[in-house]
Amino acid sequence: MRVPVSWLREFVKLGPQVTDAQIQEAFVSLGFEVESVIIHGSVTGELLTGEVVEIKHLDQFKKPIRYCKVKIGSQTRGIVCGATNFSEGDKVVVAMPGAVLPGNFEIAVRKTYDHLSEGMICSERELGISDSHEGILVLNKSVNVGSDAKKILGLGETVFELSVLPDRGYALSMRGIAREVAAYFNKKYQDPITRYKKIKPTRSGVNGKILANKKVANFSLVTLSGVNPNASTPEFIKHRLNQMGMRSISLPVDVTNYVMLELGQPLHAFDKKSVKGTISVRLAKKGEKIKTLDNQVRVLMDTDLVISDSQKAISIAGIMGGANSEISEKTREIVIEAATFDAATISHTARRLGLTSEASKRFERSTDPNLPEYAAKRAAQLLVEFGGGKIVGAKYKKSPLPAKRIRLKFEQVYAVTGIAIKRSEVIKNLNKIGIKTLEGEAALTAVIPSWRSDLETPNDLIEEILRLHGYQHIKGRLPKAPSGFGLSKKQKIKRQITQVLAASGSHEILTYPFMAEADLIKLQIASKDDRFKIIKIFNPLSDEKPAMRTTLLPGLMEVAIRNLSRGINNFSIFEIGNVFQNHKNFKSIPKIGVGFPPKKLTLKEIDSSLALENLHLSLIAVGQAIESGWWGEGHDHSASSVGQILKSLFDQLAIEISFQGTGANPWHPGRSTKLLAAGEIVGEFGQLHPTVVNNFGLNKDVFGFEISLAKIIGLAARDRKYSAIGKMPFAIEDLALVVNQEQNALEIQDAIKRAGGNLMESVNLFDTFTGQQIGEGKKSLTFRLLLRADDRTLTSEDLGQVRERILHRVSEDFGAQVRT
Amino acid sequence: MSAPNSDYDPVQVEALSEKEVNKAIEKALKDISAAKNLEELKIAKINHLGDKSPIALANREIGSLPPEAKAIAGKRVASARSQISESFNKSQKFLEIEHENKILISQKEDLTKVLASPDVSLVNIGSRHPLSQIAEIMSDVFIAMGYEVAEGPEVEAEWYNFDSLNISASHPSRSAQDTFYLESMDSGKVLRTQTSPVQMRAMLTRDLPIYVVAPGRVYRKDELDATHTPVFNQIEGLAIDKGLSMADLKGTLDHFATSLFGSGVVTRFRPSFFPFTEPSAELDVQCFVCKDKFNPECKTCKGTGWIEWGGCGMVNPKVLQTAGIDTTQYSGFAFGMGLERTLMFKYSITDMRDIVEGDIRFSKQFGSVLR
Repeated sequence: MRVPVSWLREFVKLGPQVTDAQIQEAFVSLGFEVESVIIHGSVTGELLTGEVVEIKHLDQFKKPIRYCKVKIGSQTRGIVCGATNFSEGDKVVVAMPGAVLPGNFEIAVRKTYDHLSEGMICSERELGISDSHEGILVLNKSVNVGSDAKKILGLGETVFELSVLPDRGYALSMRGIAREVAAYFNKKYQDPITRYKKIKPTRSGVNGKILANKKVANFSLVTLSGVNPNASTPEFIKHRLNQMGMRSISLPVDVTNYVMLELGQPLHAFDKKSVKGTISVRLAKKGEKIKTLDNQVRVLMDTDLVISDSQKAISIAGIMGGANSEISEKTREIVIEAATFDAATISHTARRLGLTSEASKRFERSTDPNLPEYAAKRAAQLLVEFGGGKIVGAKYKKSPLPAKRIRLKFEQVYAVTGIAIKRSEVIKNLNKIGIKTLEGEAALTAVIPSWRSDLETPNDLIEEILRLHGYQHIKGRLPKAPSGFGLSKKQKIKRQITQVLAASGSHEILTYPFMAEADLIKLQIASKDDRFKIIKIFNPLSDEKPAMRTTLLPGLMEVAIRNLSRGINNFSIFEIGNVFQNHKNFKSIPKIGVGFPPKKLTLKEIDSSLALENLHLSLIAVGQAIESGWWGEGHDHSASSVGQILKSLFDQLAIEISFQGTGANPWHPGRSTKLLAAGEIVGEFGQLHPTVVNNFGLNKDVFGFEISLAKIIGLAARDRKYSAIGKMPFAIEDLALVVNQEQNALEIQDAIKRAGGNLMESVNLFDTFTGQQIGEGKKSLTFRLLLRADDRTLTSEDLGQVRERILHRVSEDFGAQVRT
Repeated sequence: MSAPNSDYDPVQVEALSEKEVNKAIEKALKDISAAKNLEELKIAKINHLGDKSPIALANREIGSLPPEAKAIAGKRVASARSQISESFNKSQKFLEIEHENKILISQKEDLTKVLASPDVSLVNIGSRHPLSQIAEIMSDVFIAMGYEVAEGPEVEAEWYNFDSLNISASHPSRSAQDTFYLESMDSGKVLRTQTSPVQMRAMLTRDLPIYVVAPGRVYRKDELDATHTPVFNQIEGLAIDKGLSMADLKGTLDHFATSLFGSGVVTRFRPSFFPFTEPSAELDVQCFVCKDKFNPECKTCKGTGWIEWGGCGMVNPKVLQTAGIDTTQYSGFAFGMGLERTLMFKYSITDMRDIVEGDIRFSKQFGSVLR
């Protein structure tokens, strides 16, 4: 909503002591965000009105050039002009030599096209008041020649562009805005409609009828005849429309727009000649068609309101008129319609049709049901004044609503605002914005004016009182919250996991949780896998990712590729985030009421109908984990290195893990495994299958893992017991065993541990070797054993026995031999 | 050692005379202190403490002295030896340290090469995304005030996301242009457009009084550009207690702003409208770009001097009723703000895409301890 300050000052006598800056402050304080402050066409120097008295065509040039004699006051000047949209007798705006137009364009007397040009005939564009390419600005004929054009066009005036909150429909008008500003500055405010008495209903004129009672509160029609179709819009209306960002079209259209901006009541003007019989407002028939003013054919539903004559729809109510009843340059008889439509109905239709207008914007936010008669009268009178003709009829159909009443206890004002606002101010603040009050002992009853349908509860009134008192007067104080328990165990563990992963050299990233089924196909995941239980988004941002992710890997791959494309070649990235899975209870949730708490069972049903959301952790690593350089040999990321990251993570969480078999797709069948925690499979890790990586358009080894964090966080949150640490002397033994190539190390380590019994404190693999000396198909594994007894120093006998037991076990179970 | 000679006058043994001994000491101390290194010191030691040193030679003469002179001469020689030894030891220690230092200095390593080398060299530390960090930092402010962290699903029921929060069926934010629906428009399920549904969940499940914050990811149908992202993060706060007013809300948010942006950062409330709060307010923070020198052309605040930070207000009694909370006893306040937006103005990030694209150079700038 734009607010020209000059117009505002007409409504409220602010006086010169109130500056534009103060008005801007008022808007902010009242809750109207000032989106921009526009200086409407800033021109310095002389800008005068003139009459074109003679036009001479200069034909010798490539483009049409005309030499015009323009009468400006008592003098006549010669001006060369390239535009052709004006003729002799037209009134125009002349920038005199010395004037400076927007863009620092200085006007001077100069010789051009063989003629002396003593000024410039201006277009709206050159004056900086619109982007119109229509050529020269031609003024209304009634304008006096030689007068200050800046004044006539409202140039240099401040116009505020406000953002009006959706509950404040009344503020989409000068009437509403002026009332607010007057209240803020404690100035008198006279509602303009008290000046525009309504026209008495008449027997003549077009009849109106409401055929959709619940959706129409007021339907008023005023009929005019004898309007001069060639009458042009007076300059004050034109320049105000211009300041409001609207274009002048014709007198009837301009007048309806002007009154809408002034009062907030959208109006529509029909050509009476194309209307047959009574005009009614009714629900559309399903499938009914109408061509709107923008020449589009609209198909309607039986929930849409239309304005109709006895035969056809002539307008989509509150949104846009029909082409079949449009005012033309021949229209002499006009029907002005002013109505109050149901806000939800208009907003529903507008949204479905993707068609919003200045009218629908106002109806959607509710309009004043007492306004139509006044607005129709105001428009009719302007048409009579500037277009001739006379009012021949006025018909009002109205279902008057009793004024709403809200009871407000005075103590509630303090309870909600925390400010001790005086009783007298409470009442004054409400009165200032048109709310009448009936004062009681401990409470008041507020009588809500017809334009404030947004006010429903005591809190709504308190907001109004506080708004006028000033939000800036709220003095902060800190409530005394009861002592909390801090983060839950699980929340703490989740934080810790992120920290450990970052410490292990990985970078946390956060991707959009969208993907496509095609991603799963790229990952070569079996179609029976749970990850194919995807949830589709009805209205995705793009068809490339129309579903919720069931795995974090595609997002990580995308980010990995982006990093590689930006020259970052060695990295490890991870993401912690939800994956979303479909399930058999993922069904539609029925409508549930409000105003009272739903039953526990209903809440349970809601939750069980939502997605299965599981917190996952995934990491992928590319290139080198440690680069080579002056510090020594580096090494590449590998299946083992990401496994090591996992091991560190689980060590930090004090959860024992184990590996089982090889991973399924998308993992490399030779270099991946399943991860077990507390005997349950929680994820997979290793190298991604080279084909999978290729499917993503990459030709590199990629390593990583994806695990389900929910289970792990649960395990990490379990209580645990401490076992005392041994303090007796220790012994270290190295043991090199030769086993079959395919034998896994973990089984051997396990066997050694078990054979060592109580005395075995730790067993670590530190060397692996294959080669001729060992034999074909064999490998050597060297373990370092740390032995310690709880209660005594170990003897060589002890060590001998342990060694014996271990060798026996590993040779028995795995055919392992001591390497010699 | 020669036999005592009865007619030998000890005073006559020149080498043992006080004068000679002092001369020997003086010479010895001079040589020792003149030694520039351990080799020279070693020579000085041989010259002055060795078998052929004046003191050693003098010592040999003692035997030839009469008994009464032996004691004096012995004392004199012993004292001289100890003086010289002490000086030698001191010098030796000093020269040894000096020698060692020379060796160590010769092992000099250029440690600046650590800074000159790539990050992934000897030790490799990663980073945490600033969004997760700021969520934690913001939550921690409230935890310190006694709040707990509440959570809720991202695929949310329309009822929690809209209806229960007093957002009418015809509210524009519910359109398919703004909200992601799952499977179909009438599935009753959306990707939550705000963290506010967590409020309703907290009110329906927790005991009163309630003090919770809920950081989390939310979704709106915007295309990614420099200032918008369809997937972003908010933090929501909710307090339900007896006697809470706008003053408690303002106090809480002022405290919050101070702990995030430091003292001296001004905030303000402006009247606003949210269906789930009444009265409602916009929470603004003074523009960080043109704070010190107001610039009407400032792009960050559109020349207004303030940055919209979030929304807040008193929980609408209609919402409390839906949660089954007795509005004659309890009132509450709620607030919410965007984490991306907070990050952007706190760290002068001008392009939203840097936050969401996952370029590791972005997170690395912040390290693992966001300040």
